Amino acid sequence: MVARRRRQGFVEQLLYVLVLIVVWVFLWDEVSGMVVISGALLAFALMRAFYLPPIQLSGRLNFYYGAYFLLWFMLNVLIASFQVAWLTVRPRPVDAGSVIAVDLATRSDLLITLVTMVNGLIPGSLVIEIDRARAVVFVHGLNCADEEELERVREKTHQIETLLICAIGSPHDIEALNDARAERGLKPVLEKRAIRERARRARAAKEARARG
Amino acid sequence: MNGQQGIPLVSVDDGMGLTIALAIGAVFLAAVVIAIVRIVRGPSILDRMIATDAFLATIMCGLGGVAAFSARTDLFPVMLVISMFGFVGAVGVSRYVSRADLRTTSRFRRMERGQGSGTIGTADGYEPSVPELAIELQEARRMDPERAARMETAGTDLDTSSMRVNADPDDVSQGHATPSEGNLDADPAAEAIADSDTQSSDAEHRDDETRGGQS
Amino acid sequence: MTLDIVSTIFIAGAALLSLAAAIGSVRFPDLLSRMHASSKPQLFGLVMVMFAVALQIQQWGPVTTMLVIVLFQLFTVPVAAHMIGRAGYRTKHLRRSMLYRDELDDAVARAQARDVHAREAAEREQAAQAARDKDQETADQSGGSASGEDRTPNDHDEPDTGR
Repeated sequence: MVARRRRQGFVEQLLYVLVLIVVWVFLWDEVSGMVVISGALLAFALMRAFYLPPIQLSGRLNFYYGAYFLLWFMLNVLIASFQVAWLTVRPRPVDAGSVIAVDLATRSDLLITLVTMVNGLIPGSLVIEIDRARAVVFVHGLNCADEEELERVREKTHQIETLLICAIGSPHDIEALNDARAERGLKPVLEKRAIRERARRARAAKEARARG
Repeated sequence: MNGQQGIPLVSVDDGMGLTIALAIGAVFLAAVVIAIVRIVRGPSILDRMIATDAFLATIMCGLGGVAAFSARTDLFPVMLVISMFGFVGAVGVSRYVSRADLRTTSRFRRMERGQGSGTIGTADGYEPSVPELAIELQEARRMDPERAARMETAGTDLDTSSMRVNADPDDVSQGHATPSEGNLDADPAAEAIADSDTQSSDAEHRDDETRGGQS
Repeated sequence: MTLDIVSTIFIAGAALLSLAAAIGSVRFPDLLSRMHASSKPQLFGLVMVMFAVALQIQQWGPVTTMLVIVLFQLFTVPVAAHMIGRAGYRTKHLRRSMLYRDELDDAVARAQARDVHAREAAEREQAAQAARDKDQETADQSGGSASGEDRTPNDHDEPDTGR
């Protein structure tokens, strides 16, 4: 049987090895030759032993939006933790929850996984089921017993997805996101960059066609 | 990670610091006791697993507090291992409980291919060869004879059982849906083993939660 | 001195969040709600404890170890919560009548209806095919087939009658 996955690029493998070495150094709390070398050996062995399917990175990292996403995320975790803590001790009992289907604009594995995980970290929402073929996540909202709460959970998921796509989404994802936002009546994000990338890709495609 | 470093927050002869440390310890103790209440009461195994996770996380925070109060660093590997146990336990229990895909056993694969039936003849009649379906059949005989008749004649038709096993690739309840972006092998056996759900026996948690409400 | 006070406040905050998580796991009525309450606030509690430890032990070594611990929790808590939620939803451990709006149920019902429809169509197709094959068989039974090779291959688990 033929493995249908593409081989990992050299840069990706190097990235994995570096990250594992950094974790090893952090665990041992010292940066000496012994630690780094043993970390490198262990990283290579692990990569060969557990060869995972490659994550398709988009090759794009927007530092401004990345920092904004991290700050937004930490602030939300802070606020929501105390909201849930208040829910546990207030005298009135908690309302029922609900399961909401949220359509995502992205079709990429990594982004759907990240949206799921960020939803799982922010108290008040939890992803229960993922429909990978249609890129739909089913989110369970805590204390969600009327329409506005439902819409709030949906909006939060959409916001998570928007910020993630702005930070590390591919241009294809940005286009899909802008289409979805146009449908819902919001202004598109990253317009100039998206347009530039699209123009660049169109030029590259035209050159490839002219050549071959 | 070698013992005492830094400034200890509390020393034995400092009354105020000791009181505060004991108060914080009492709060952690209360949290742990309440989590144990849920472990004992929880109607289903998943409730108990959630409470165990909360218990372990509380212990981790408590150990962190001890590390801060006595300025010692040899507790960090303990915290790491505790968090690993919590994670592996939660994932293991949830895989045990969810029982969507029974087709990982070879008996089911053979039944699928049409070799050998799903029933074996016994003195009392036909019994399903797989314990999970046998239990279902028993229950159906007790409560819903028409469904029992259907199950017997259809030769353990999996889809009439309450376990949602559907061959629809778009079916959401399967969970592992379609392979994505061409990075999975086309081998169905590998995919079945790599599937995140394994079978579990209904008898183990039949008494766990009342199958009440509307479902 | 201020360092001590700040650390103490952080640790007290973490203790209170853990207490809230435990109380939540007892008070909330539903499996998924308890899931929310018990695992999420404690992540933030762990981060606060990490800050407290970093303030007391002012060296880089233990701080990076705690960073690894916090990152590990950050990556594994949502995964565990997702799996428990999924297992709870699929089986009968979650009382679905307690949900206000359940859009997953609609999607599953639609998919199952589609599947039943497809299966019935396939069965009808199969029956038609079998009828056609039977006609074919009776047509060339006069041809005389000597081999009984229509048996399925022998399996080890179910002993055959010595073929």
